Amino acid sequence: MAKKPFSSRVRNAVFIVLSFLLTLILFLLSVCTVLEATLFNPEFIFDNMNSSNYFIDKSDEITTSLIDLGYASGLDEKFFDDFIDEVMLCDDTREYLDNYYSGNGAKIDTTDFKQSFNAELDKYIQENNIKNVNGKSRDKLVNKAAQIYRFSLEIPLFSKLSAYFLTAKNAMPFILVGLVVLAGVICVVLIFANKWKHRGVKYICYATSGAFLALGIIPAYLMITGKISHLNLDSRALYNMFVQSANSICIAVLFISLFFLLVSVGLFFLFRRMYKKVRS
Amino acid sequence: MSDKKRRHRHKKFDGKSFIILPIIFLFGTYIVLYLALAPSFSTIFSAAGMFFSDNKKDYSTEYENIFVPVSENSTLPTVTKEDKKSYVKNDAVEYPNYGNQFGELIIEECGIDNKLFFGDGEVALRNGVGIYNGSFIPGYGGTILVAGHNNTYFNGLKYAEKGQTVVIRTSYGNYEYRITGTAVKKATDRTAYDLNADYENLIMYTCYPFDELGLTDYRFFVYAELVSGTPIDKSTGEG
Repeated sequence: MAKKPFSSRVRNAVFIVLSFLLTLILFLLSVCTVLEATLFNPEFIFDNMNSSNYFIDKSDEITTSLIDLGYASGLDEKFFDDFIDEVMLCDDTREYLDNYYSGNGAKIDTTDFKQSFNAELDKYIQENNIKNVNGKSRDKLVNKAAQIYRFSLEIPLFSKLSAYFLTAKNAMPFILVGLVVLAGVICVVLIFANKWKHRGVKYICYATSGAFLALGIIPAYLMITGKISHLNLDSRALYNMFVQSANSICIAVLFISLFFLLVSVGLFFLFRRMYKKVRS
Repeated sequence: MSDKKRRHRHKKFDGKSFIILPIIFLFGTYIVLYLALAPSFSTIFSAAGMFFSDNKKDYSTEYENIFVPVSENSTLPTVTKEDKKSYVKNDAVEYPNYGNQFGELIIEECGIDNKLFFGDGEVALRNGVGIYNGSFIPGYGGTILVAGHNNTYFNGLKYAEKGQTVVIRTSYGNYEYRITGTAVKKATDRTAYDLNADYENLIMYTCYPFDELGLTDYRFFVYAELVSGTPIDKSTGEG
């Protein structure tokens, strides 16, 4: 067999490196696209909250915590029957997410909650003819109940990561455009720098196959091992929401991975056709 | 280059490269990611460790009950030591985990007959009274600090008086204490109890005033000394 000339081998190596760079860019582009469509999208979180029964579970959890507070402060369990209004919970969560995603901080306004708690408390004191009420102790009870409500609505690490999160979210559109341009440039170079176009197709096929493997391996591992279900969160509502969101993200990544597989198969057959044409 | 030569160079179709190169690219991608993220790997892994556990989390609000009452006449496996005292054999004691019900606390004169938990978390105080997990279990020779809500299981503490008997029943033995006094102290007063005491003593506390609506700043403490009960042999094992 005739040995390939040195320049040809160097060219081949350069194209393989370019092909690898394309794999890396396609991988990052896919991850960034999924992030933009999921974590950086408040609608995604809110939709997952709705479909994972977040508000029903959360309402139960807050009620249980408030009943415990009631045991410590002389309030009957019945006081908290239907006390947590799911509409208020939903509105406050929506406001919390909107504030967070718009960069106004992860604030939860408990004014409505406190007003409604105070009104119910007045009614309870009157109905049960309770005389032993100390203003300071009552204020502490109302503030503690509001704190339980606020803590229950907060999403763990959201406020701590807000600076990084918002920076990444704001930069994401530029990163996406940059990656698309880079991927396009590399594809153009691979096609037009090769005299035989089928070789360009071959290098792009390597890149898409690499992207298929790199993207698919982690979600496949997570879904096969069930690692996501080992999330350790105190709140069942949050757990269900996070597991559902994580599964949705994994499925989205797997779909993109499958898309790259299809593209690779298509490119492979295109390469074969072009190759046969050249040989004939 | 002639057409013939060109065709010659295209002759060999290397299908293996369509499998080998993508696999190399896969590893290459993760090596690049590893190198890029290496400085923050410890943070990422410690955060992941915080958020993932070995087993699926159990959200059941049920608690584990390891309490099997010891009848008055039954003989516990004991060991007699150099001081000629009998000790409950360490391996006969099933040490409770946080949140386990492992005994009962009874003060007949106060109408108290409650489940006793290890740990004073929400589930424990919802179902009975709980030993603060930084204190000791009965028989271990230290301070036993028991908490309960004043509107539920420890409401009867308001009738506590010096000389009354407190019985704690566990699976490894029954312990009797005598109330030595009561006190009302600020919730933040750390002098109300001594967790480093080298003798067995029981402290029960709840919010004060009793039956008041709201969260109070004061706590009602009931102090008791050990009257009878076989201590645990601490020579091996942990408490």
